[in-house]
Amino acid sequence: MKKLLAYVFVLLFSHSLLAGGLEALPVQDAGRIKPFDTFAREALALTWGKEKYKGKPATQVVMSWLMVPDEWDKVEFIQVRHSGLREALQLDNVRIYYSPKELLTNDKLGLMMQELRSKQEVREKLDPFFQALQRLENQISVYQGIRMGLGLNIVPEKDSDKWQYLQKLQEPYQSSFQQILAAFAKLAAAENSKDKAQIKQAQKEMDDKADAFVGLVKKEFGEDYAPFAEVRAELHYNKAHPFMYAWILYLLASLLFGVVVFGGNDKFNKAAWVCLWLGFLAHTYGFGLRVFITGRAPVTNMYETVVWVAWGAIIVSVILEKFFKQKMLLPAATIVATLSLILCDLSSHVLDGSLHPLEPVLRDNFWLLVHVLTITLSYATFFVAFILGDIVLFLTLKGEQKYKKEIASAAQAIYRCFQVGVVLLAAGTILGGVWADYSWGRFWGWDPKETWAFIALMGYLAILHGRIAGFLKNYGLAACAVLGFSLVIMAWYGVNFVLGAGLHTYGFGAGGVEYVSAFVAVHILYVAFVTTVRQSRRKAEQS
Amino acid sequence: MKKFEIYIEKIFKFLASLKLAVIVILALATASAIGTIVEAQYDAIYAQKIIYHSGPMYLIMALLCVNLFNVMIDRLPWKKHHAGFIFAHIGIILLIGGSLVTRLWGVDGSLPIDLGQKNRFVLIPAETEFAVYATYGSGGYKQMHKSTRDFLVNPIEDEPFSISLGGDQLEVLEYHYAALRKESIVEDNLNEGGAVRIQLENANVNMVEWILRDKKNESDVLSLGPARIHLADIEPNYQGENEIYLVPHPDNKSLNYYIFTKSKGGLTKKGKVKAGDQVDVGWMGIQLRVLKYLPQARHQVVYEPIKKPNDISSSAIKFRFRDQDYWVGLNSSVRLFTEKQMYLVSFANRRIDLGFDVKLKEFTVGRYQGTMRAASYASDVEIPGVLEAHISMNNPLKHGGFTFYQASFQENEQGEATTSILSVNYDPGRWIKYLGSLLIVLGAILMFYFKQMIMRASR
Repeated sequence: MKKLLAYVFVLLFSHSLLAGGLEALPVQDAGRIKPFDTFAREALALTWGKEKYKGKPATQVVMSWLMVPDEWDKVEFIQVRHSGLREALQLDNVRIYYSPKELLTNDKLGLMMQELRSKQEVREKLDPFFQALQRLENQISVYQGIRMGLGLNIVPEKDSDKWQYLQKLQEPYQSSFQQILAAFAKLAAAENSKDKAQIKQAQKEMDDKADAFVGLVKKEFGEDYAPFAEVRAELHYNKAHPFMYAWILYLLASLLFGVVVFGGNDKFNKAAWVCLWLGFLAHTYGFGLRVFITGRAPVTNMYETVVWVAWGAIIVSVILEKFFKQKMLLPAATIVATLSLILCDLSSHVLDGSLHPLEPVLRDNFWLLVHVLTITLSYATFFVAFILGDIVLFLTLKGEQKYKKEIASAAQAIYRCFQVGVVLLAAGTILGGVWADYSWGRFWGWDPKETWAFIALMGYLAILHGRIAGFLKNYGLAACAVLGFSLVIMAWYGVNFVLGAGLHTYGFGAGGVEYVSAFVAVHILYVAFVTTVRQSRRKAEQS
Repeated sequence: MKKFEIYIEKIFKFLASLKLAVIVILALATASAIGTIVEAQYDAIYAQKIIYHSGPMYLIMALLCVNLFNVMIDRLPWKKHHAGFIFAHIGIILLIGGSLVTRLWGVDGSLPIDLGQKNRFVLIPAETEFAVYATYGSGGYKQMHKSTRDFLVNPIEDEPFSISLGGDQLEVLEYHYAALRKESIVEDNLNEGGAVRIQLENANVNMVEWILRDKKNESDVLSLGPARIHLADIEPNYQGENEIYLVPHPDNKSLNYYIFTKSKGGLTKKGKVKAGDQVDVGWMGIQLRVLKYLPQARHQVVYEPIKKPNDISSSAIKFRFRDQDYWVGLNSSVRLFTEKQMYLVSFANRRIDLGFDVKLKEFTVGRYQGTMRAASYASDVEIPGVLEAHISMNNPLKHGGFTFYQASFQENEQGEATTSILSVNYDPGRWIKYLGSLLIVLGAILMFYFKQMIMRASR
């Protein structure tokens, strides 16, 4: 399967289906080879906070850092988000962007960096202030590195696996790269003139120069000095935004399914399915691209699991719908997928979508893959149940008698989701034990991540037993679906972002903890509110 | 009699009830949740001892087993559609039982081996031993006492702990799970060696140092590049450098000093100093100031308790012996002197002798291209005379009932690996747990499958 996938993508990307050019220039950075486009996007996202600077693409910005560094030293573009840090540095604190020059000449910065060093030496956990300082140090060093030609590694070295950086390049590479820069200068001039033909011409010249540079390197180091198919695929992935198209289509699907299920209008059924499948296609395509680029299963960080959960929610719901004819599942699943993918698109500073090399223990491990996929798939089904629970609460508020049929059908769907989710979560947790046993000789070590998966399992088991015992009727089941999902959020997000950072770093914006907590709190209040309204209504009916 | 039977019946019904199941499941979830918070606040071992392996946790597990067992009895005689339910419930009991077997008879420790060296002792991180040895002139040690008591779980405040050593009592006063090691020099009438705290200062240098002389040495020296400062009990013995000799004066308050200069080839200045005095030594513009002088002193290690453990803290015990207080930190020892003999008090992680040596022949670290980030690491080990093996991530070695896994490694400041850390494991409960796991998953699937069939049939 993996091989087939790789074959398809190599076929797609190796035959210059997409041109090379400057954006596809291979760069060695952070332990892997990436296209210059990714390198530039990451550098700009780190310093400026977005992947475009005032309409200019990242590659052009980074090229101009190399061209006119003295100009850029004076530009206010380095983002300092932490207001406490701005105050400590005695910056004017009315802006959030500062120029490299004013930061580098800041008297306080050096002293504070020393403090940061001493904290790093004793491996003290950094509070958000020092995390912000560390980020600032990173921002400055990445900018300085590129500006001085030290951070851009573009030619392999003969006896080392570390590539040569720009400053160190020998002939003919040095002059070849100078030609790229010269072509870039022409492009900049052309863009000022706003003459479209001229811009296109200059763009082509620059890309040709970049291809010539790559040609020179190939001559010395062979055709495969970099994984070109992967590099081009990554460039394509950067530009294609498959997950954006996916969520737009899912959103449409969820609206149409909403009309079908709640409006009783079957006319839109077909259109809804078409949107769902098209969205799923875009989603799967993006997913496949990531797998191909990294060469591994894409479930090793928060971003990737969110994408996978969205995918799993669709798959599980479609299968359950086919078997049990529970139409209710489809609007819920498409809402889950839409929300998840929008989250990935919007909160790039929390959910880091960039591709990173893995820790040793996570590499080449079949059991790891199986257990993470299984557990996150269970999270997907609980997520669908959660949305269904929200829907039931809403319908209850609108009139429990009026929507009796819909509520019963949704509760049945929730129960179905729970059953599937519990089996998956139990199997996944046990497989986690098998993995730990296989890697460390320890079946169960009470590690917080595995413990929280276990707690979530206990929560849903309690709900299922409560249902069997008759403690929970339709409404109770729906309320539990909403409340129980808090456990999943804790296991999925909280362990890494709340427990992992230490309990004392609560409440600061670094990891989106405040938004997630608010989300959970709002839902608890929602359940409490609907329950109170429902009870007072019942009392009124009885009296 | 009948009443009694009704009570028994009632108790059984409750122990087999879904109500108890829900209570136990929720209790298990709550206890685990508290455990993860404790772990985030303290560390993994602390959480295991205080929460996961605590009495209440065992009680919850026991109740769960009783509940699962009784509910199966309650469903007798079993029918076909009970298969899933029976499988899952037996599976859970097996899983808990297997874990108990592992806990009671298993080994889960770590084996650090330096490059080129061998080791045969497996450290058990969660267990400690407090031991006292006596020495008898010839250098031999005899174990006088050994205790594996866990002072965190079984605190000194609840039950005092003392050992009798040749008529003297050694009494443990305090135990701290997390403490920081602090060294200091204090006045002491047992040791006849003195200590002096000096300051050396010129335009470029300003340093303050202690020189402590052990009583069995005639002199102890502080070397500072081209200069040497001696604290000696003998007449100066000039060795041709820039040197300062500090020799105790019989008044027990001051020191005689002798300053030698390399360029002049001999003694250039002498006199008497006491605490607070300053002398121009004549070379490099250095001023010597005596800050403190203790005619009789010893090196003292104390541990300062802290609330939460960190990377450099360790647990520590404070004990009293012959009216004097001592601290001993985890994996260290303290010497006690009496007129007759010397005792060695040691507080260390429990060690298990493998019965054979494991030698680390080579250690390789693979890095991500162009970075120092480790991508993989592996140990080439030898069990002398038996076998050689390659241990890497997910590729363990099995020998002598133990399994050796590559866990981590230590490196020096140059980034070269110096020590490989293997995790060593013996798990007699493994197959019980695996069987239990299989039954749980199988049972859960069967349960939902059969429920489906029954629902269809009854329609």
